[in-house]
Amino acid sequence: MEALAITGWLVSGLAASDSEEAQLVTRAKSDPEAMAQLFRDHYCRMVRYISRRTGNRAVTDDLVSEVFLTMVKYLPRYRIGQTPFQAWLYRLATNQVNRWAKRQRRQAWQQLQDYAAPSRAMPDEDSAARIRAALLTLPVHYQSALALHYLEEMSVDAVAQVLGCAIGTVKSRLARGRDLLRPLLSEQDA
Amino acid sequence: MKPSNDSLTRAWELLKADSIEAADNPLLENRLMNEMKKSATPHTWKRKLALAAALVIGFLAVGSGIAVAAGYNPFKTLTVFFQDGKVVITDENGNQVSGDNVKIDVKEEGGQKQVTVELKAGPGGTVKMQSSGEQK
Repeated sequence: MEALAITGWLVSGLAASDSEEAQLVTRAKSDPEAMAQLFRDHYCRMVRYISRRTGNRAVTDDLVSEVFLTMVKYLPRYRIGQTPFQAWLYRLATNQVNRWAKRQRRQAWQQLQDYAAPSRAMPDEDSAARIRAALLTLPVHYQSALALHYLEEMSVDAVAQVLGCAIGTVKSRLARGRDLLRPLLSEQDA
Repeated sequence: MKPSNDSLTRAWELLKADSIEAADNPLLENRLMNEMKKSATPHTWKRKLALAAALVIGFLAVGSGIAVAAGYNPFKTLTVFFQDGKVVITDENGNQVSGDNVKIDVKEEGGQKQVTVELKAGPGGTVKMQSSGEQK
């Protein structure tokens, strides 16, 4: 499962370290046109990632805006070669979503209990909402590791780069996160 | 019994499928460009000003450090007084200061004596002091 998850992001990760993008990032520090190009290259990916974690269009739009405004603010300080640009951008996005997710935890528990009550077959849309609610009840560092690895299909190495922690830490967060999430999902299925 | 990984696998698939797809956002793009243009100018002059201030402070700090290390005390107190009709200068320890580094000029105007003491103080510095009053 983990080995399969590696492939997708690794390919894009290699593209991110491409010298062409490095040049674009360098130019984007002073050239608004290059910055706009950088935005266009990554906007779609950021919307997808954030929407998978929030499940809400308006919240996603707000958080995506914050991510790119933060990017504009901190791009002059970004050093090429230290962290791939895409990983850096994912880090900004993860920080924004985590901040939002911390505020949602209590509400998510309530939502999860509401979903558990009716014994009716749920359409996929509702299922996704209750899975998301279950995910939101976990501490944010588990949420972000799980989301980056399983939803964004990043390798453990890439997740470690985004979160700025050791590979072993990511592995333990993934294992612990899965252990915490499983009973929540099986309770819903029961 | 431990639940299988199937529930998790299905959960990830459902969440992956339940994402918003957006190709572009011209409004946000324009806002970012404006933000960048807006923030570019003040940052440049603020940074230059901060750099210049840091350089001046650093230069002064390093300069004073070197001077103090070389034995120069910028706050040395000298005492100038008349003794037997002559101008005498002593340092903080009461030792008389004299030699090539000290130049004393006494002028008398209308019953008052004006004393100008010029001395080379430390590396590359010259201090000039003036005092006037009646001789007792």
